[in-house]
Amino acid sequence: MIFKGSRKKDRKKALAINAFMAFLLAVYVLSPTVQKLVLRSLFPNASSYVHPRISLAHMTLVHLGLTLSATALSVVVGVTVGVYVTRSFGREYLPLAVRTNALLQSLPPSAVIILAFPILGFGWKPTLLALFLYSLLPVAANTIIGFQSVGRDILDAADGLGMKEVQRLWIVEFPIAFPHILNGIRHAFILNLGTAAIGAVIGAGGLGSIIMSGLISNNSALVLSGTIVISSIALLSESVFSLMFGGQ
Amino acid sequence: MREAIIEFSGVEVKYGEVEALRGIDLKIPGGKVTVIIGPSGCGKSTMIRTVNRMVEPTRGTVRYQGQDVKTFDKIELRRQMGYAIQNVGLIPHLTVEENILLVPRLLGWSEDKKKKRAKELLDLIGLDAGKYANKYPSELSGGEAQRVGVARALGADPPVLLFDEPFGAVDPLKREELQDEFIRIQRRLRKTVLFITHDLSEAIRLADYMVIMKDGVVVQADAPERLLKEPGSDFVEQFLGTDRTLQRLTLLTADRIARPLRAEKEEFVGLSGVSWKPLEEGEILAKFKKDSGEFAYRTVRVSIHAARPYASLKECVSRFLALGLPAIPVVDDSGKVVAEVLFDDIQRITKEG
Repeated sequence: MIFKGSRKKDRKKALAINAFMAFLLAVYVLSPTVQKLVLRSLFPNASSYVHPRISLAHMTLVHLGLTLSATALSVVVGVTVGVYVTRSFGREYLPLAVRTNALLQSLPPSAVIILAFPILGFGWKPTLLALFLYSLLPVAANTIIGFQSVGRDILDAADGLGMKEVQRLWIVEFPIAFPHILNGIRHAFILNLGTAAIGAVIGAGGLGSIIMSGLISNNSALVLSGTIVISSIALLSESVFSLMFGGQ
Repeated sequence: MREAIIEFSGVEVKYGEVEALRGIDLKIPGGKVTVIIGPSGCGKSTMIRTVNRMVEPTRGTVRYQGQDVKTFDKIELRRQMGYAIQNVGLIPHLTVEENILLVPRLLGWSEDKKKKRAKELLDLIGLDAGKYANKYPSELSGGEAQRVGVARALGADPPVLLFDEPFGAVDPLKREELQDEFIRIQRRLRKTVLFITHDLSEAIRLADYMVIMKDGVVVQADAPERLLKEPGSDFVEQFLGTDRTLQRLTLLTADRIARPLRAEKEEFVGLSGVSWKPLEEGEILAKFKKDSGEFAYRTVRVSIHAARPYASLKECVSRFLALGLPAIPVVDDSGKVVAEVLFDDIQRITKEG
C-alpha cells in the first residue's frame, strides 16, 4: 500500500512537471515577445529573432500536423502488416515484410523527398510520404516482435482450449503485443518529429522553415528557436507516453 | 474393457520424413485415467494431439464417441476436451479467475453461472477463492500455476481431459501433492482422462490403464498391476525395471533405515565411526578417521547435508554426495541430532531392488 501510494504521488508530481513544461512551451511558441526576450539573452547581436513572414505558432502547428499524420499512417499500415505476417495464413510473407522494412528504413528521407518531388510536387505531400516510409519500420517491426513475443505454450493452450483464430488474436495475443506496438509508435513519432524539419526544403512548412531561414542568413538565434520547440515537444511527448503506459 | 470413448485405428503421423506415429491401434476406456508413458520422442504428445485435432493423422482414424473426429467442428471438439500442458501457458494479462473461465467465456455463459463456476473450480483445486481469484499468473508459484492450468482445463466441465505432463514442471514433492489432488478430484468427477507423463511412479499412482509407447508405436497397454507383473517384452521390463529401484528410494524414508547413536560427552557416535558434535544453530562438527589413520574434521550444514527423518532415500543420496562422508546425520524438527544414515545401507537396498 505504501509502495502504491508513493507511486501515485510520483505520477502526480511528474504530471505537474509536464503540465508546467507544456505551459512554458506554449508561452514561448505563442508570444514573439517572449521569443525575443529569451533569444536576445543568448544572442545579443543577432539580426532578428523571429521568422520574417511566418509565426512560430503556425510553424509548430504545421510541424505537429505533419508528424501526427505521418505517424498515424505508419500505425495503420505497420500494425496491419505486422498482424498479417504473424498469422498462420500470412506467415510466408514475414521475411519479405522484414526485408522491405529494413530497405525503407535505409532510404535517406531527404532522397525520398527529392525523388517524390517531381510526382507529388511542391509542399507537404513528398514530406508526408518520406516520413511515412521512414517511420514504418519501427511500427511494423515492433508489432512483429510483439506478436512473436507471445509464448508458444500460451498459444498452444489457447488453441487446445478451443479458441478461434480471431478470439486468440484479441483475447490472448494483442494485449501481450500491445506494449511493444506502443513502443514502436512512440519511436515513430519522435523520429518523425525530428525528420519533419527537412520538409522545409521543398516548402512543407513546419519548424524546418525557421531553422532553414536561420542557416541561410547565418543567424543562430533562429536555428535555436526552431530547435528548442522541436526538442521540447519530443521530451514532453516522451514523458507523456511513459506516464500513460509506462507503469503497467 | 468398458465402452471405449476414444479409439485409434491405424493412426500414423508423419512430419515430413519423420514418422511420429507408426500405426496406433488403441481403445481408451471412458471415465478412467489412461496414462501414456514412454521415453521422450516416442510420440505420446503427438498421439493425444490427434484427439483434439491439433495434429491431423496422415493415415488412419481417431474416433470420439464412435465418430471420426474429422466430422466434428475443430473448435467445438476442443471445447469438449479440457487441455492442460506442462508449461501451463496461462494467459499473463488475465487473472486466475479469468484464466479458468476462458472456455465458459468462449461458450458465452452468463455472468452468474461463471462466477459460481470460478468458485467451484478454485475450491476443487484447493486454492482459496478470496485470495487467488484476482491474482495474476506471475504472482503464482509453479505448483499453483499448474493447479490453475488443471482448473482451466476443467473450466466448462468437459467429459474428456487431455493432460500433457500437467505436473511436469514442479519439484517431486509438490508433484506428489498435485497427484493426490488429482486422484481426489478424479474420484469425484470420473472424467475420461488421457494423461501423459515420463515419470513412472506418477504413472503407476494415477493410471487405471497404462499405455507404454516407444518409437511411435504402442508397446503394451494394460492395467498397471498386470504390466508390472507380466511385462510383455524386454523393453517394458527394462523400462519398468530400471526405474523400480529409484522408485523404492523415493518411497522409503530416512527413518526406516536410520541407525541409532550413543551420546559421548557432547558428541554422538554410531556405527559409521563418525562422531557428530552439535555446534551452534544449524551446524554440526563431524570428526572422522581418514584412511591414513589421522582424524579429520568437517563442518556439516544441517540445511544442506543432514536429513530429516521423513526425507526420502533419494534425497539422502544427494546429501551424501554433498557431504562426502560414509554417513549423514538425521536431525529432528528441533534440529537435534537423533540418528545417522549409512551409505552402505542405501547401497544394500538398491541391490535388493
